[in-house]
Amino acid sequence: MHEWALADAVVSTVEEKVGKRNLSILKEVHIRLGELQNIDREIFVTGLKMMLRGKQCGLEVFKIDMEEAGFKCNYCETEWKLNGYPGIGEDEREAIHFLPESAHAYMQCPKCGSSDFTVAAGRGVLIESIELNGQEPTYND
Amino acid sequence: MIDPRTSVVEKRLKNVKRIIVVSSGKGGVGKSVFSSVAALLSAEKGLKTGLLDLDFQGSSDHIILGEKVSLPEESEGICPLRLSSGIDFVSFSLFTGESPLPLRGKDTTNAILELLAVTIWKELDFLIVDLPPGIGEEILDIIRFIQRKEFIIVSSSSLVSVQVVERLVNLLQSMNLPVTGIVENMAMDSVHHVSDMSEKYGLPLLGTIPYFPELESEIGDSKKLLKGNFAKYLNAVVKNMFKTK
Repeated sequence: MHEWALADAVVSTVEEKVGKRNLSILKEVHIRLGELQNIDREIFVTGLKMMLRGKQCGLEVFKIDMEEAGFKCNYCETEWKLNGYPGIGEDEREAIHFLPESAHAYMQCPKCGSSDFTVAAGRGVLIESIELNGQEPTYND
Repeated sequence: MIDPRTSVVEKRLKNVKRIIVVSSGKGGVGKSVFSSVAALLSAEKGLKTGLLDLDFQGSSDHIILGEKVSLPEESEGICPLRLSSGIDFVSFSLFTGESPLPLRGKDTTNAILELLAVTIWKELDFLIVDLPPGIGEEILDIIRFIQRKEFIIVSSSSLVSVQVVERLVNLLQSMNLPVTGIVENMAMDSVHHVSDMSEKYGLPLLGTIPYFPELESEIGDSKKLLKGNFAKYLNAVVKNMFKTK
């Protein structure tokens, strides 16, 4: 349930950016959940709902997309995806869920075996954009 | 793209009265033993104490305290592990055990920020943060993400240590960051480089702890550590630490 802490971080950030009293002007908040952290979407949404209690905007403003995790070896430059990567046990998945950088202890480049790799995509929770009514998206790539 | 985690770090630490960051420019001066035993002494005095081991490559506080670590419990965030001594403990070792954790700079920052954003610290009198040596990502991230903090600097007596530690003192003072004081560890009577440094920078020398060869036999046993000479000397330092505010 540490998804709630992350949902809290999202709502706090939105409040910081637009002001606590201005949440009614939110049109859309676009969130990306990285595959690597294995966030339970349902629990995360429940967390958002809790954090939004008594505030001037509803859950419908929040759009959530999943992002596939991708890795690149810093040694031989091989790229690979999480999907299909063998040998990650339940405990290791749980550790990565808590702390995605734990992946460096449990994963290696499938070609050269190096632990020196970059998580190129799909690490954790990010806010992709905050769109206000009557305005262009505030934060984008 | 916005990283939402930075906005909740202070909120996660709101129940912590004092955040003491134990640092040194130099490795091998005893920061981890200092941090671990200081936490033990604080907990023994009945103070609510947390210990955050941020040394990714060399996390060892759990080894010093003789504690078996495991994945933490989840509530509305990550709950620190309650050690037998009563210390609330978080370390990378909770997630990776004794496996090597090779991280580059950006990953180090991500990992520190994640821990700060999702760990729910309960009410604490002291949170002792054990940093790795140097003036790299870990200390820069602590400076950046934690507003209420104070530094304690550990140095051995050697000129080699003191000259490197002096760079850290310079960095902290140039950024107007609060330094509670300096601790001399593995002290040699023949040299006074640490007291000279303390005078030069106007920083209190919180204590001088001699080298105790028998400390090695106390490692891994909290009770032995508390009864040992190192703890006796450190107790005076810790009292000074408590007095400073």
